[in-house]
Amino acid sequence: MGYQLAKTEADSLFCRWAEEYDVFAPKLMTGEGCYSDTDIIRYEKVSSLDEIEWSKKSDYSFKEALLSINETLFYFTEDQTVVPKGPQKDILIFLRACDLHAVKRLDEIYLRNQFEDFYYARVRERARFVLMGCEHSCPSGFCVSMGTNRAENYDAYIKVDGEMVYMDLKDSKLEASMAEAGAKTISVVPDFVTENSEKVTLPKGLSNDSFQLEIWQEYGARCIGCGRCNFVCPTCTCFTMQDVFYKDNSKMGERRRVWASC
Amino acid sequence: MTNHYIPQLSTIKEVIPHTELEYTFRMTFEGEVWPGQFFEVSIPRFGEAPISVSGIGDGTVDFTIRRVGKVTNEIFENYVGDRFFIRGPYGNGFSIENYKNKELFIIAGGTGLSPVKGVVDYFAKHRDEAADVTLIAGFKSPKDVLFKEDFKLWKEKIKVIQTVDTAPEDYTGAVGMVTKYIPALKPDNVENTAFICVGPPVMIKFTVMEILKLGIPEKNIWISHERKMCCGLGKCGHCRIGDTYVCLDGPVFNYVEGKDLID
Repeated sequence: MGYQLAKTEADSLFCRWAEEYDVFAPKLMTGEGCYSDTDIIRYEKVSSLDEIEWSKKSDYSFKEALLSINETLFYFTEDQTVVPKGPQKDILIFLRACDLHAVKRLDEIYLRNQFEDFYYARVRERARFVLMGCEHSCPSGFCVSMGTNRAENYDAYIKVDGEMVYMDLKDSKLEASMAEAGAKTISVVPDFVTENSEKVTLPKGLSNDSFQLEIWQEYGARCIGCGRCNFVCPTCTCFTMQDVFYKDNSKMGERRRVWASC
Repeated sequence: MTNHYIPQLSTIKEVIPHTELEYTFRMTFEGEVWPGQFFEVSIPRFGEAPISVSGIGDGTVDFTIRRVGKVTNEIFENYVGDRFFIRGPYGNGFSIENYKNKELFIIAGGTGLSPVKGVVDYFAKHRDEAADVTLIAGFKSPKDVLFKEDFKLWKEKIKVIQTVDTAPEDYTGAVGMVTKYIPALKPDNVENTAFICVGPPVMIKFTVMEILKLGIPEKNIWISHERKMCCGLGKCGHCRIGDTYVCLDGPVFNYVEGKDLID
C-alpha cells in the first residue's frame, strides 16, 4: 500500500525501524576513499534517513549487507568446530532496481545451485529489501538494455522529496509499523529509469572462438589482481578459503571465506 | 539447515607410500562414494584441498595425495591412528553403467590414475561385465609409478600398458607418452567402445585427438576436468566455466559436453 507522510514523521518511523532492524544503506564516507582526500560511498549500518546517500551510486555493491567481505565459517580447536551466531535482528537493505535483480542471481547460486549455503541462507531469511528509485539513469548505466531497470520484488519503496516522504510497503511487518506513523494512503509508483544513453545489445550464439579474440589479451593485460571487480559486481559470488590461527594458541583459530575473484 | 562447510573427523587406517612425494591415505568414511568423486581434505590452520577418491573400501576411502603445497605437506605429517578433517564426497564421478558391455579403454596420466582407479578396480574384479578392458597408464619416470601392487593384480585380469615418458637405458618396460600407444588400438566395433581419459589438460587434449583419429564417436569419450576447485559446493566460483560448475556438474564429463569447457 502507498503512503505519504511528512519527513519528520518518516524520521520517527525510521528510528523505530532502526531499533527493530539492522538497516544497511549506501552512505557517504568523507575522506575514506581509496586515495588521499577522497570520499567513498559504501554500505553501512544507518540509523536515520539523512545518513543515506540517495543521489549518487554506491562505489561498492550492496551485497556487503548479505555476504561479509570476511566471514568466519567456524572456529576450530584441534578436533572441534564451532559455528558463529547468525544475525540477531531482521535486516533492511536499501538498494536499486538493478540490485534487486542481482539478488535473484545470488539466491540462485547460494540457495539453490544443488547445495544451500548455510551462512547466506540464515542472513537472507531475515533480510527485507527497500527499493530506492532512480529518477535519472547513472551515466554509464545500461539497465534498460538488460531489463533490470524495473523491479517488483521489493518489500518497501521509499522516496524522500523535500519535506515529504513517499512509501510503497508490501511487507506486512513493515506495514504494521505504519499504524502509528500518521501517514496518508495514496497511490505511489516507484521511479524507474526508462532510457539510458548507453545501449547494449547482447550477442546471441557466441562461439568458443570468441575466447581467442585479441580484446581478451588486452583486457587481461590490464588486470592487476586488485579484486575491485569482485567488490563492485553485485552478482559475483567468488570467494576463497582462509585459515587464521591465534598467536597465543596456534592450535586454535578460525576458517574464513574471503571475497576473491578470478 | 545443513552446514556443508563443516568437515568431519576421519581416522587414518593405513598409509601406503608410492613414491617420495605420493602416498595413499586410507581414511574412515561411512557413506556412498563413487569413483571420480572428490573430498575436501581439511586441515585447520592450513586450509582445504580437493582430493579425488582413489579407492573405496568397506567403511574407508583412499586419497592418493601428492605433497605439493601447505595443506598436503601437513597431511604427510600424519600417520596411522591420527585424524584429520574431510568433507564430501562431491562431484558426479564415473557411472559404471556407462561402460558395461563395452570395449573399455582407460587412459590415465600420472596422478590422473587416482580418480579413475575405482573404475579399473571394478572391471578388474568384474571382468565379465565389459567386452574388453585396456588400461594405458603413463608416468614421468619409473620412480614416479603409482599403485605398483595394484598393477600386478590388474595385469592378471585386463590388458595393461604401463609406460613412462623417460627412463634409464637399462629400463625394460614401455617408454613413451600414452598417445604413442593409441594408434595401435584396434576396437572390434567403434560404436561399442568407451574411452576414459584422465590427466593434465595438455595430456587430455592430445590423447583425445588420437582417440578421434581412430574414428571413435565423441559421445564414447569421457574426460575428467581436474580443474581448480575450492569450496566443492558450487558457490565460490573457482571452477565455473560459463554455466558449468566443475565441482557440481563434473569433474567427469562426456566429451560432447566437455570439449566446450574452455579453461
